[in-house]
Amino acid sequence: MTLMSVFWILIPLFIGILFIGLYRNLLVKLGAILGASGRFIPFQSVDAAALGRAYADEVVLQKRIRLRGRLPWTRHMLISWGFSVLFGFDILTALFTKYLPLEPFRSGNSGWLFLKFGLNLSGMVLLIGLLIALVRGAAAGGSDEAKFSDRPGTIFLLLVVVTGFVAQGMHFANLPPDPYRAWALLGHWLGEAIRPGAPYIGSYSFFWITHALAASAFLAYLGWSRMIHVFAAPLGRIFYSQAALREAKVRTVMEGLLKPRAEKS
Amino acid sequence: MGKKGWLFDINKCTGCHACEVACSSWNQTGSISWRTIVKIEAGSYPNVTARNLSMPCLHCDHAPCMQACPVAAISKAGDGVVSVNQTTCVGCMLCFFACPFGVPKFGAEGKMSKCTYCGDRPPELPRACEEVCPTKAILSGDMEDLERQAAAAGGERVGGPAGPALFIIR
Repeated sequence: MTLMSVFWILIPLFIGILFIGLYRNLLVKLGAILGASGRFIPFQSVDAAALGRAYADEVVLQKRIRLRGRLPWTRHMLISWGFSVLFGFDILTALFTKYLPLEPFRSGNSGWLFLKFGLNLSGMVLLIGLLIALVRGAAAGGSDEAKFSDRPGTIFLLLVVVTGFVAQGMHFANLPPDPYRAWALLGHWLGEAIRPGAPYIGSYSFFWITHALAASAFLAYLGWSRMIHVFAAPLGRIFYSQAALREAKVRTVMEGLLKPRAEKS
Repeated sequence: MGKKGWLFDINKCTGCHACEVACSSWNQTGSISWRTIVKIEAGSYPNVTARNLSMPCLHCDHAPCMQACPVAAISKAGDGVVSVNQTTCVGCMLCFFACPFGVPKFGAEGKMSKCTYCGDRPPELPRACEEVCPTKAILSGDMEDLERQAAAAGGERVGGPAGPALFIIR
């Protein structure tokens, strides 16, 4: 059995673990909440403007984190947007270079360079955010600020990003120099830096497999750790924007409490 | 260790918000309040009534907030007090939606928080809210004691699947 075949067995397994985690730790709980409080939510009275504002403030701009300071906000913006855009480019890369190969996306062509540029730029953004998070987490140790630090998640994601860059650098170092590859930013710079010691065939395979497995395992980890907030927090914040619904729920329950038991039945 | 809870006399509450202020002050909750005073008006003029309900966390037997938390940040101690671990909480607010009373509050810093039953207060003292209530509408203590007092005053325990630790005198 080759490493590649092990990888293709593990990928669906990890993604399956992610879905089981999301089902067990989020969907089941959301279902129970909606089942219990659905009667308080008249969907026709949803405030669409408030929903939009909540999405912009809490998800896109993350203004609440900005209240804690510029550094925590910068760190979280770099990580969340770096990760999201990187994930998007990963899917596009797999789609256009592996599953639906088109001419512009063949190695060295303009589409391929665009994908490499996007992957590397978002990866670098993510890397900077993770490094800030690690340094800040270490500095905040023991203080009240430490409760905002997720060191295991940060280190895990850092492993994914660093192995990705190293694997890419080794891959480029094994290829003849190509000026267009400069669009691959950090991957290209790493490749050029280590080129004198090439070839790295064996090391490249090791780092590529490590990166691929770590990235897949990180997806599984999302559903079973504090990283589940990637899915849960935006949902909760957007629901919370519905002030009328929040108040209606509490008021209905309070009115019920005021009535004597005999009257309620 | 006896389970802790509340006894609330609706007839005594004037809605003065002293309990809310005392809670915020003792627990340093900042811009949010762990107690919610709800004024319920009923009837039509001239036969109108207004009653107040001061609601803290009811530290339910089967706390729905605890069951809803995707990161297990909410736990129940031996004395029945339900608390939120601020380090683990990710501020997703599912606990707020799960709580029938909408008790957990979303803080400005992005974490959920709620009544801790004044966990840092000496046990021989009343809870901060109880201490300042001018009409003695709020009583805290062991559920067994509260049950006796509620029964003597014609009160009853609030029902529901969550099992809120609250006796109420209507």
